[in-house]
Amino acid sequence: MIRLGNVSKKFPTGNSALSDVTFSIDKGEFVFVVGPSGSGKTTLFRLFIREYIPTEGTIHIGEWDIGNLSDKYIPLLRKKIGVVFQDLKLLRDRTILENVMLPLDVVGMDDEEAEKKAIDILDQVSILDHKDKFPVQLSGGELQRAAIARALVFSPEILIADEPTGNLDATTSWEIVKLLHDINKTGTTVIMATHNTDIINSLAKRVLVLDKGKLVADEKKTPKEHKKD
Amino acid sequence: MRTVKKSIKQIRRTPFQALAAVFVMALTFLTISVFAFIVFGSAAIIKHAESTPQVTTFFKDEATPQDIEQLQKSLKDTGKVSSMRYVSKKDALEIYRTRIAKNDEYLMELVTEDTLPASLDIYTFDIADLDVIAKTVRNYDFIDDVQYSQDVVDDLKNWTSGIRTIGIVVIVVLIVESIFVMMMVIGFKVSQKRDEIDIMKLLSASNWYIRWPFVWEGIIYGVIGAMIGWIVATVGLLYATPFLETILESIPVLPASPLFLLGLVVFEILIAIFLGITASFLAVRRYLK
Repeated sequence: MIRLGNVSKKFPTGNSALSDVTFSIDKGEFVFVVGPSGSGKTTLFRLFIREYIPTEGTIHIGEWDIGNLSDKYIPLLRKKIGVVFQDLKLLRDRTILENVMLPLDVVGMDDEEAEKKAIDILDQVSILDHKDKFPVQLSGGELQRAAIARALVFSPEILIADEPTGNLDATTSWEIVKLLHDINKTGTTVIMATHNTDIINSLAKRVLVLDKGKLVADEKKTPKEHKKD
Repeated sequence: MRTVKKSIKQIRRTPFQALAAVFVMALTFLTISVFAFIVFGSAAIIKHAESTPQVTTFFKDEATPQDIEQLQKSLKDTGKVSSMRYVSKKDALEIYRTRIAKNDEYLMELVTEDTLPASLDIYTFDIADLDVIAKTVRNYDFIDDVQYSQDVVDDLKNWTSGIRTIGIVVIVVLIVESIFVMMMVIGFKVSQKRDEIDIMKLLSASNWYIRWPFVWEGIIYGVIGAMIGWIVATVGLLYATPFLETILESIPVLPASPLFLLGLVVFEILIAIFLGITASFLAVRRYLK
Protein backbone atom coordinates (compact mmCIF):
# COMPACT_ATOMS: atom_id res chain seq x y z
CA MET A 1 0.00 0.00 0.00
CA ILE A 2 2.74 2.47 1.03
CA ARG A 3 6.34 2.00 -0.11
CA LEU A 4 9.23 4.30 0.66
CA GLY A 5 12.56 3.73 -1.05
CA ASN A 6 15.61 5.60 0.28
CA VAL A 7 13.60 8.74 0.95
CA SER A 8 15.42 11.89 2.05
CA LYS A 9 14.02 15.34 2.63
CA LYS A 10 16.27 18.35 2.87
CA PHE A 11 14.96 21.92 3.19
CA PRO A 12 16.43 24.90 1.34
CA THR A 13 17.82 26.08 4.71
CA GLY A 14 20.08 23.01 4.66
CA ASN A 15 18.23 21.16 7.44
CA SER A 16 17.78 17.48 6.78
CA ALA A 17 14.41 16.24 8.10
CA LEU A 18 14.59 12.67 6.75
CA SER A 19 17.55 10.70 5.58
CA ASP A 20 17.52 7.49 3.52
CA VAL A 21 14.27 6.08 4.94
CA THR A 22 13.00 2.81 3.49
CA PHE A 23 9.96 0.81 4.63
CA SER A 24 6.58 -0.36 3.42
CA ILE A 25 3.18 -0.61 5.05
CA ASP A 26 0.55 -3.14 3.96
CA LYS A 27 -3.12 -2.45 3.49
CA GLY A 28 -5.07 -2.64 6.75
CA GLU A 29 -2.02 -2.37 9.03
CA PHE A 30 -1.94 -0.30 12.24
CA VAL A 31 1.48 1.30 12.59
CA PHE A 32 2.91 3.55 15.27
CA VAL A 33 5.56 6.06 14.27
CA VAL A 34 7.60 7.11 17.29
CA GLY A 35 10.55 9.35 17.91
CA PRO A 36 11.45 12.52 19.74
CA SER A 37 10.39 15.96 18.54
CA GLY A 38 12.21 16.86 15.33
CA SER A 39 12.81 13.21 14.43
CA GLY A 40 10.91 13.61 11.13
CA LYS A 41 7.46 12.17 11.92
CA THR A 42 5.46 15.14 10.71
CA THR A 43 7.71 15.56 7.65
CA LEU A 44 7.03 11.92 6.78
CA PHE A 45 3.26 12.53 6.91
CA ARG A 46 3.56 15.70 4.84
CA LEU A 47 5.42 13.71 2.22
CA PHE A 48 2.57 11.18 2.12
CA ILE A 49 0.01 13.87 1.21
CA ARG A 50 2.39 15.63 -1.19
CA GLU A 51 2.59 18.76 0.92
CA TYR A 52 6.34 18.18 0.51
CA ILE A 53 8.22 16.52 -2.32
CA PRO A 54 11.09 14.16 -1.39
CA THR A 55 14.58 15.47 -2.20
CA GLU A 56 15.71 11.92 -2.94
CA GLY A 57 14.10 8.50 -3.14
CA THR A 58 10.61 7.36 -4.08
CA ILE A 59 7.26 7.17 -2.31
CA HIS A 60 4.48 5.00 -3.70
CA ILE A 61 0.93 5.08 -2.37
CA GLY A 62 -0.86 2.26 -4.15
CA GLU A 63 0.11 2.68 -7.79
CA TRP A 64 0.95 6.37 -7.50
CA ASP A 65 4.51 7.67 -7.49
CA ILE A 66 3.98 10.60 -5.13
CA GLY A 67 7.19 12.46 -6.00
CA ASN A 68 6.18 12.63 -9.66
CA LEU A 69 2.44 12.98 -9.17
CA SER A 70 0.83 15.59 -11.38
CA ASP A 71 -0.76 18.48 -9.45
CA LYS A 72 -4.22 17.58 -10.75
CA TYR A 73 -4.09 14.25 -8.85
CA ILE A 74 -3.26 15.87 -5.48
CA PRO A 75 -6.94 16.40 -4.53
CA LEU A 76 -7.57 12.71 -5.31
CA LEU A 77 -4.55 11.66 -3.24
CA ARG A 78 -5.81 13.73 -0.31
CA LYS A 79 -9.18 12.01 -0.51
CA LYS A 80 -7.40 8.66 -0.32
CA ILE A 81 -5.49 9.73 2.79
CA GLY A 82 -7.35 11.20 5.77
CA VAL A 83 -5.16 13.27 8.09
CA VAL A 84 -5.64 14.25 11.72
CA PHE A 85 -3.16 17.10 11.99
CA GLN A 86 -1.09 17.65 15.11
CA ASP A 87 -2.66 21.11 15.53
CA LEU A 88 -6.01 19.72 14.32
CA LYS A 89 -6.53 22.57 11.82
CA LEU A 90 -10.20 23.00 12.65
CA LEU A 91 -11.69 26.33 11.51
CA ARG A 92 -12.51 28.37 14.61
CA ASP A 93 -15.37 30.32 13.07
CA ARG A 94 -17.27 27.24 11.90
CA THR A 95 -19.29 24.75 13.90
CA ILE A 96 -18.11 21.18 14.30
CA LEU A 97 -20.68 20.06 11.73
CA GLU A 98 -19.48 22.71 9.26
CA ASN A 99 -15.86 21.69 9.87
CA VAL A 100 -16.66 18.07 9.11
CA MET A 101 -18.68 19.10 6.05
CA LEU A 102 -15.83 21.24 4.70
CA PRO A 103 -14.00 18.53 2.70
CA LEU A 104 -17.35 17.47 1.19
CA ASP A 105 -18.14 21.08 0.30
CA VAL A 106 -14.70 21.33 -1.30
CA VAL A 107 -15.56 18.50 -3.71
CA GLY A 108 -18.92 20.11 -4.48
CA MET A 109 -21.20 17.67 -2.68
CA ASP A 110 -24.79 18.82 -2.28
CA ASP A 111 -25.37 20.47 1.16
CA GLU A 112 -28.09 18.08 2.24
CA GLU A 113 -26.10 14.99 1.33
CA ALA A 114 -22.93 16.42 2.91
CA GLU A 115 -24.79 17.16 6.15
CA LYS A 116 -26.22 13.66 6.29
CA LYS A 117 -22.78 12.13 5.77
CA ALA A 118 -21.14 14.45 8.33
CA ILE A 119 -23.83 13.61 10.91
CA ASP A 120 -23.27 9.86 10.37
CA ILE A 121 -19.55 10.27 10.97
CA LEU A 122 -19.99 12.53 14.02
CA ASP A 123 -22.25 9.84 15.42
CA GLN A 124 -19.59 7.23 14.65
CA VAL A 125 -16.98 9.16 16.66
CA SER A 126 -19.55 9.89 19.43
CA ILE A 127 -19.68 13.72 19.31
CA LEU A 128 -22.96 14.19 17.50
CA ASP A 129 -24.31 16.13 20.49
CA HIS A 130 -21.66 18.79 19.86
CA LYS A 131 -22.33 19.27 16.16
CA ASP A 132 -23.56 22.85 16.52
CA LYS A 133 -20.78 23.97 18.86
CA PHE A 134 -17.69 25.88 17.84
CA PRO A 135 -14.22 24.36 18.39
CA VAL A 136 -13.53 26.69 21.32
CA GLN A 137 -16.47 25.14 23.21
CA LEU A 138 -15.09 21.57 23.04
CA SER A 139 -12.60 19.67 25.24
CA GLY A 140 -9.29 18.33 23.90
CA GLY A 141 -10.65 14.81 23.42
CA GLU A 142 -13.77 16.06 21.68
CA LEU A 143 -11.68 18.21 19.34
CA GLN A 144 -9.57 15.15 18.45
CA ARG A 145 -12.74 13.26 17.64
CA ALA A 146 -13.96 16.14 15.49
CA ALA A 147 -10.64 16.16 13.60
CA ILE A 148 -10.86 12.37 13.19
CA ALA A 149 -14.42 12.73 11.89
CA ARG A 150 -13.28 15.26 9.30
CA ALA A 151 -10.43 12.96 8.25
CA LEU A 152 -12.91 10.11 7.76
CA VAL A 153 -15.53 11.84 5.59
CA PHE A 154 -14.16 10.43 2.33
CA SER A 155 -13.84 6.92 3.85
CA PRO A 156 -10.08 7.08 3.16
CA GLU A 157 -7.94 3.99 2.59
CA ILE A 158 -5.28 5.43 4.89
CA LEU A 159 -5.76 7.45 8.09
CA ILE A 160 -2.80 9.38 9.44
CA ALA A 161 -3.01 10.73 13.00
CA ASP A 162 -0.17 13.02 14.05
CA GLU A 163 0.16 12.77 17.83
CA PRO A 164 -3.59 12.65 18.47
CA THR A 165 -3.04 11.97 22.18
CA GLY A 166 -0.39 14.66 22.66
CA ASN A 167 -2.34 16.96 24.97
CA LEU A 168 -4.84 14.52 26.43
CA ASP A 169 -5.14 12.84 29.80
CA ALA A 170 -4.62 9.08 30.01
CA THR A 171 -8.30 8.11 29.91
CA THR A 172 -9.13 10.34 26.96
CA SER A 173 -5.97 9.18 25.17
CA TRP A 174 -7.12 5.59 25.46
CA GLU A 175 -10.54 6.49 24.14
CA ILE A 176 -8.95 8.05 21.06
CA VAL A 177 -6.65 5.07 20.51
CA LYS A 178 -9.64 2.75 20.84
CA LEU A 179 -11.49 4.83 18.24
CA LEU A 180 -8.52 4.60 15.84
CA HIS A 181 -8.29 0.89 16.53
CA ASP A 182 -11.97 0.47 15.64
CA ILE A 183 -11.43 2.42 12.41
CA ASN A 184 -8.49 0.12 11.61
CA LYS A 185 -10.73 -2.93 12.13
CA THR A 186 -12.96 -1.71 9.27
CA GLY A 187 -9.97 -2.16 6.92
CA THR A 188 -8.50 1.35 6.98
CA THR A 189 -4.72 1.51 7.25
CA VAL A 190 -3.91 3.62 10.34
CA ILE A 191 -0.58 5.36 10.92
CA MET A 192 -0.28 7.10 14.25
CA ALA A 193 2.57 9.20 15.53
CA THR A 194 2.91 9.23 19.30
CA HIS A 195 5.26 9.76 22.24
CA ASN A 196 3.06 7.73 24.55
CA THR A 197 5.02 4.57 25.42
CA ASP A 198 2.16 3.17 27.51
CA ILE A 199 -0.05 3.04 24.46
CA ILE A 200 2.67 1.56 22.25
CA ASN A 201 3.56 -1.09 24.78
CA SER A 202 -0.02 -2.06 25.47
CA LEU A 203 -0.92 -2.74 21.84
CA ALA A 204 0.75 -5.46 19.84
CA LYS A 205 1.35 -3.32 16.78
CA ARG A 206 4.17 -2.51 14.41
CA VAL A 207 6.38 0.39 15.52
CA LEU A 208 8.60 2.50 13.28
CA VAL A 209 11.19 4.40 15.29
CA LEU A 210 12.65 7.57 13.83
CA ASP A 211 15.59 9.44 15.26
CA LYS A 212 17.18 12.55 13.71
CA GLY A 213 15.48 11.73 10.41
CA LYS A 214 16.68 8.14 10.23
CA LEU A 215 14.62 4.98 10.61
CA VAL A 216 16.40 3.30 13.51
CA ALA A 217 13.97 0.46 14.24
CA ASP A 218 11.05 -1.27 12.56
CA GLU A 219 9.59 -3.81 14.92
CA LYS A 220 6.37 -5.54 15.72
CA LYS A 221 5.52 -5.67 19.39
CA THR A 222 4.08 -8.96 20.65
CA PRO A 223 2.36 -9.44 23.99
CA LYS A 224 5.46 -11.38 25.11
CA GLU A 225 7.80 -8.53 24.19
CA HIS A 226 5.37 -6.24 25.82
CA LYS A 227 5.86 -8.13 29.10
CA LYS A 228 9.65 -7.93 28.67
CA ASP A 229 9.40 -4.14 28.13
CA MET B 1 -25.24 29.80 -5.45
CA ARG B 2 -23.45 28.42 -2.41
CA THR B 3 -20.34 30.37 -3.38
CA VAL B 4 -22.36 33.59 -3.68
CA LYS B 5 -23.79 32.99 -0.18
CA LYS B 6 -20.24 32.59 1.14
CA SER B 7 -19.25 35.88 -0.51
CA ILE B 8 -22.24 37.71 0.99
CA LYS B 9 -21.30 36.32 4.41
CA GLN B 10 -17.71 37.54 3.90
CA ILE B 11 -18.97 41.01 2.92
CA ARG B 12 -21.29 41.26 5.94
CA ARG B 13 -18.44 40.48 8.32
CA THR B 14 -16.44 43.53 7.16
CA PRO B 15 -19.06 46.16 6.30
CA PHE B 16 -16.78 49.21 6.32
CA GLN B 17 -14.29 47.71 3.89
CA ALA B 18 -17.21 46.74 1.71
CA LEU B 19 -18.51 50.32 1.84
CA ALA B 20 -15.10 51.68 0.83
CA ALA B 21 -14.97 49.36 -2.17
CA VAL B 22 -18.57 50.15 -3.19
CA PHE B 23 -18.07 53.93 -2.84
CA VAL B 24 -14.98 54.04 -4.99
CA MET B 25 -16.76 51.92 -7.59
CA ALA B 26 -19.84 54.17 -7.42
CA LEU B 27 -17.64 57.25 -7.96
CA THR B 28 -16.02 55.63 -11.00
CA PHE B 29 -19.36 54.72 -12.55
CA LEU B 30 -20.93 58.08 -11.70
CA THR B 31 -18.09 59.70 -13.67
CA ILE B 32 -18.48 57.21 -16.52
CA SER B 33 -22.24 57.93 -16.64
CA VAL B 34 -21.81 61.72 -16.61
CA PHE B 35 -19.22 61.62 -19.39
CA ALA B 36 -21.43 59.22 -21.34
CA PHE B 37 -24.30 61.74 -21.09
CA ILE B 38 -22.05 64.58 -22.25
CA VAL B 39 -20.45 62.65 -25.12
CA PHE B 40 -23.70 61.12 -26.41
CA GLY B 41 -25.61 64.38 -25.86
CA SER B 42 -23.11 66.44 -27.84
CA ALA B 43 -23.04 63.76 -30.56
CA ALA B 44 -26.82 64.15 -30.85
CA ILE B 45 -26.50 67.94 -30.98
CA ILE B 46 -23.85 67.66 -33.71
CA LYS B 47 -26.06 65.27 -35.67
CA HIS B 48 -28.98 67.67 -35.38
CA ALA B 49 -26.85 70.62 -36.45
CA GLU B 50 -25.49 68.65 -39.40
CA SER B 51 -28.97 67.66 -40.48
CA THR B 52 -30.11 71.31 -40.56
CA PRO B 53 -28.78 72.74 -43.80
CA GLN B 54 -29.01 76.41 -42.97
CA VAL B 55 -26.93 79.51 -43.68
CA THR B 56 -27.79 82.72 -41.88
CA THR B 57 -26.62 85.97 -43.47
CA PHE B 58 -26.70 89.21 -41.53
CA PHE B 59 -27.17 92.41 -43.52
CA LYS B 60 -25.40 95.67 -42.97
CA ASP B 61 -27.71 98.57 -42.08
CA GLU B 62 -27.15 100.14 -45.52
CA ALA B 63 -28.54 97.10 -47.36
CA THR B 64 -31.57 98.19 -49.38
CA PRO B 65 -34.67 96.06 -50.00
CA GLN B 66 -33.57 95.89 -53.66
CA ASP B 67 -30.18 94.45 -52.63
CA ILE B 68 -31.92 91.83 -50.57
CA GLU B 69 -34.37 90.98 -53.32
CA GLN B 70 -31.52 90.66 -55.82
CA LEU B 71 -29.63 88.36 -53.50
CA GLN B 72 -32.70 86.17 -53.00
CA LYS B 73 -33.21 85.94 -56.75
CA SER B 74 -29.61 84.99 -57.51
CA LEU B 75 -29.66 82.38 -54.76
CA LYS B 76 -32.85 80.86 -56.12
CA ASP B 77 -31.25 80.69 -59.56
CA THR B 78 -28.47 78.43 -58.28
CA GLY B 79 -31.12 75.68 -57.85
CA LYS B 80 -29.46 74.60 -54.61
CA VAL B 81 -31.70 76.54 -52.24
CA SER B 82 -34.85 74.90 -50.97
CA SER B 83 -36.26 77.90 -49.12
CA MET B 84 -35.39 81.27 -47.65
CA ARG B 85 -36.77 83.30 -44.80
CA TYR B 86 -36.21 87.00 -44.41
CA VAL B 87 -35.98 88.24 -40.82
CA SER B 88 -36.39 92.02 -40.66
CA LYS B 89 -35.03 94.17 -37.83
CA LYS B 90 -38.54 94.18 -36.40
CA ASP B 91 -38.81 90.38 -36.56
CA ALA B 92 -35.38 90.09 -34.96
CA LEU B 93 -36.47 92.25 -32.08
CA GLU B 94 -39.59 90.12 -31.65
CA ILE B 95 -37.46 86.97 -31.57
CA TYR B 96 -35.15 88.60 -29.05
CA ARG B 97 -38.10 89.57 -26.86
CA THR B 98 -39.80 86.20 -26.85
CA ARG B 99 -36.86 83.79 -26.85
CA ILE B 100 -34.06 85.59 -25.08
CA ALA B 101 -35.35 88.46 -22.97
CA LYS B 102 -38.54 86.54 -22.19
CA ASN B 103 -40.42 89.73 -21.27
CA ASP B 104 -37.72 90.76 -18.81
CA GLU B 105 -38.15 94.52 -18.90
CA TYR B 106 -34.54 95.30 -18.10
CA LEU B 107 -33.25 93.06 -20.91
CA MET B 108 -35.87 94.40 -23.28
CA GLU B 109 -34.83 97.99 -22.66
CA LEU B 110 -31.21 97.15 -23.53
CA VAL B 111 -31.99 96.24 -27.12
CA THR B 112 -33.89 98.29 -29.67
CA GLU B 113 -34.85 97.63 -33.28
CA ASP B 114 -31.74 99.49 -34.45
CA THR B 115 -29.34 97.30 -32.52
CA LEU B 116 -30.33 94.12 -34.30
CA PRO B 117 -29.43 93.35 -37.92
CA ALA B 118 -31.88 92.08 -40.50
CA SER B 119 -31.00 88.61 -41.74
CA LEU B 120 -31.82 85.95 -44.28
CA ASP B 121 -32.04 82.23 -43.37
CA ILE B 122 -31.14 80.13 -46.40
CA TYR B 123 -31.96 76.40 -46.46
CA THR B 124 -30.32 74.10 -49.02
CA PHE B 125 -31.45 70.75 -50.34
CA ASP B 126 -28.06 69.25 -49.63
CA ILE B 127 -25.83 69.91 -46.63
CA ALA B 128 -22.77 69.78 -48.91
CA ASP B 129 -23.94 72.94 -50.70
CA LEU B 130 -23.83 75.09 -47.55
CA ASP B 131 -20.18 75.90 -48.07
CA VAL B 132 -20.72 77.11 -51.67
CA ILE B 133 -23.74 79.22 -50.68
CA ALA B 134 -21.86 80.74 -47.75
CA LYS B 135 -18.94 81.69 -50.02
CA THR B 136 -21.27 83.16 -52.67
CA VAL B 137 -23.12 85.29 -50.10
CA ARG B 138 -19.90 86.60 -48.59
CA ASN B 139 -19.02 88.26 -51.90
CA TYR B 140 -21.85 90.81 -51.55
CA ASP B 141 -20.63 94.04 -49.90
CA PHE B 142 -23.90 94.67 -48.03
CA ILE B 143 -23.45 91.44 -46.07
CA ASP B 144 -22.08 91.92 -42.57
CA ASP B 145 -21.63 88.30 -41.44
CA VAL B 146 -22.44 84.78 -42.56
CA GLN B 147 -23.06 81.93 -40.13
CA TYR B 148 -23.79 78.41 -41.16
CA SER B 149 -24.22 75.15 -39.24
CA GLN B 150 -20.82 73.80 -40.32
CA ASP B 151 -19.20 76.43 -38.08
CA VAL B 152 -21.34 75.33 -35.17
CA VAL B 153 -20.62 71.66 -35.94
CA ASP B 154 -16.87 72.30 -36.08
CA ASP B 155 -16.95 74.16 -32.78
CA LEU B 156 -18.99 71.41 -31.15
CA LYS B 157 -16.69 68.74 -32.54
CA ASN B 158 -13.67 70.47 -31.06
CA TRP B 159 -15.38 70.78 -27.68
CA THR B 160 -16.59 67.19 -27.72
CA SER B 161 -13.20 65.87 -28.66
CA GLY B 162 -11.65 67.83 -25.75
CA ILE B 163 -14.27 66.59 -23.30
CA ARG B 164 -13.85 63.03 -24.56
CA THR B 165 -10.07 63.14 -24.02
CA ILE B 166 -10.45 64.54 -20.50
CA GLY B 167 -13.20 61.97 -19.82
CA ILE B 168 -11.06 59.04 -20.95
CA VAL B 169 -8.12 60.17 -18.80
CA VAL B 170 -10.32 60.69 -15.71
CA ILE B 171 -12.11 57.36 -16.23
CA VAL B 172 -8.85 55.43 -16.72
CA VAL B 173 -7.42 56.96 -13.52
CA LEU B 174 -10.61 56.11 -11.59
CA ILE B 175 -10.70 52.56 -12.97
CA VAL B 176 -7.09 51.94 -11.95
CA GLU B 177 -7.84 53.44 -8.53
CA SER B 178 -10.92 51.27 -8.03
CA ILE B 179 -8.99 48.14 -9.01
CA PHE B 180 -6.33 49.01 -6.42
CA VAL B 181 -8.88 49.74 -3.67
CA MET B 182 -10.72 46.48 -4.39
CA MET B 183 -7.43 44.58 -4.48
CA MET B 184 -6.59 46.07 -1.09
CA VAL B 185 -9.97 45.20 0.44
CA ILE B 186 -10.07 41.67 -0.98
CA GLY B 187 -6.33 41.15 -0.39
CA PHE B 188 -6.83 42.03 3.28
CA LYS B 189 -9.60 39.47 3.56
CA VAL B 190 -7.49 36.84 1.83
CA SER B 191 -4.65 37.46 4.26
CA GLN B 192 -7.08 37.18 7.18
CA LYS B 193 -8.18 33.82 5.82
CA ARG B 194 -4.70 32.54 5.10
CA ASP B 195 -4.94 29.73 7.66
CA GLU B 196 -8.32 28.73 6.32
CA ILE B 197 -6.96 28.70 2.77
CA ASP B 198 -4.04 26.49 3.88
CA ILE B 199 -6.46 24.10 5.57
CA MET B 200 -8.70 24.00 2.52
CA LYS B 201 -5.74 23.19 0.31
CA LEU B 202 -4.75 20.36 2.67
CA LEU B 203 -8.33 19.12 2.39
CA SER B 204 -7.91 18.82 -1.37
CA ALA B 205 -9.55 22.14 -2.36
CA SER B 206 -8.73 23.28 -5.86
CA ASN B 207 -7.49 26.83 -6.44
CA TRP B 208 -10.83 27.71 -8.03
CA TYR B 209 -12.75 26.52 -4.96
CA ILE B 210 -10.71 29.00 -2.89
CA ARG B 211 -10.84 31.74 -5.50
CA TRP B 212 -14.56 31.78 -6.32
CA PRO B 213 -15.94 33.44 -3.13
CA PHE B 214 -13.42 36.28 -3.54
CA VAL B 215 -14.19 36.63 -7.24
CA TRP B 216 -17.91 36.89 -6.42
CA GLU B 217 -17.11 39.44 -3.74
CA GLY B 218 -15.35 41.59 -6.35
CA ILE B 219 -18.27 41.21 -8.75
CA ILE B 220 -20.77 42.19 -6.03
CA TYR B 221 -18.80 45.34 -5.12
CA GLY B 222 -18.50 46.25 -8.79
CA VAL B 223 -22.16 45.70 -9.69
CA ILE B 224 -23.52 47.54 -6.62
CA GLY B 225 -21.09 50.43 -7.26
CA ALA B 226 -22.10 50.58 -10.94
CA MET B 227 -25.81 50.61 -10.05
CA ILE B 228 -25.33 53.40 -7.49
CA GLY B 229 -23.21 55.47 -9.92
CA TRP B 230 -25.75 55.02 -12.70
CA ILE B 231 -28.77 55.77 -10.48
CA VAL B 232 -27.20 58.98 -9.09
CA ALA B 233 -26.23 60.19 -12.59
CA THR B 234 -29.63 59.30 -14.09
CA VAL B 235 -31.60 60.95 -11.27
CA GLY B 236 -29.37 64.02 -11.70
CA LEU B 237 -30.01 64.05 -15.44
CA LEU B 238 -33.79 63.68 -15.02
CA TYR B 239 -33.75 66.46 -12.43
CA ALA B 240 -31.79 68.75 -14.77
CA THR B 241 -33.83 67.84 -17.88
CA PRO B 242 -36.40 70.73 -17.66
CA PHE B 243 -33.58 73.27 -17.27
CA LEU B 244 -31.43 71.72 -20.04
CA GLU B 245 -34.42 71.61 -22.39
CA THR B 246 -34.78 75.39 -22.19
CA ILE B 247 -31.14 75.78 -23.21
CA LEU B 248 -31.24 73.23 -26.00
CA GLU B 249 -34.61 74.52 -27.24
CA SER B 250 -35.48 72.82 -30.50
CA ILE B 251 -32.65 70.25 -30.43
CA PRO B 252 -34.31 66.89 -29.73
CA VAL B 253 -31.76 65.43 -27.26
CA LEU B 254 -33.84 65.40 -24.09
CA PRO B 255 -35.50 63.70 -22.37
CA ALA B 256 -32.89 60.91 -22.60
CA SER B 257 -34.18 57.78 -24.28
CA PRO B 258 -34.94 54.93 -21.83
CA LEU B 259 -33.24 52.57 -24.28
CA PHE B 260 -30.03 54.62 -24.07
CA LEU B 261 -30.17 54.63 -20.24
CA LEU B 262 -30.81 50.87 -20.19
CA GLY B 263 -27.96 50.26 -22.63
CA LEU B 264 -25.67 52.38 -20.46
CA VAL B 265 -26.47 50.49 -17.25
CA VAL B 266 -25.97 47.12 -18.97
CA PHE B 267 -22.63 48.31 -20.36
CA GLU B 268 -21.57 49.61 -16.94
CA ILE B 269 -22.55 46.37 -15.21
CA LEU B 270 -20.45 44.40 -17.70
CA ILE B 271 -17.48 46.70 -17.04
CA ALA B 272 -18.09 46.34 -13.28
CA ILE B 273 -18.06 42.54 -13.54
CA PHE B 274 -14.82 42.70 -15.48
CA LEU B 275 -13.25 45.06 -12.92
CA GLY B 276 -14.45 42.91 -10.00
CA ILE B 277 -13.03 39.75 -11.52
CA THR B 278 -9.71 41.41 -12.39
CA ALA B 279 -9.22 42.95 -8.93
CA SER B 280 -10.13 39.81 -6.98
CA PHE B 281 -8.10 37.60 -9.28
CA LEU B 282 -5.01 39.75 -8.74
CA ALA B 283 -5.63 39.89 -4.97
CA VAL B 284 -5.94 36.11 -4.58
CA ARG B 285 -3.18 35.21 -7.03
CA ARG B 286 -0.34 35.93 -4.60
CA TYR B 287 -1.74 33.55 -2.01
CA LEU B 288 -2.37 30.65 -4.34
CA LYS B 289 1.15 30.40 -5.72
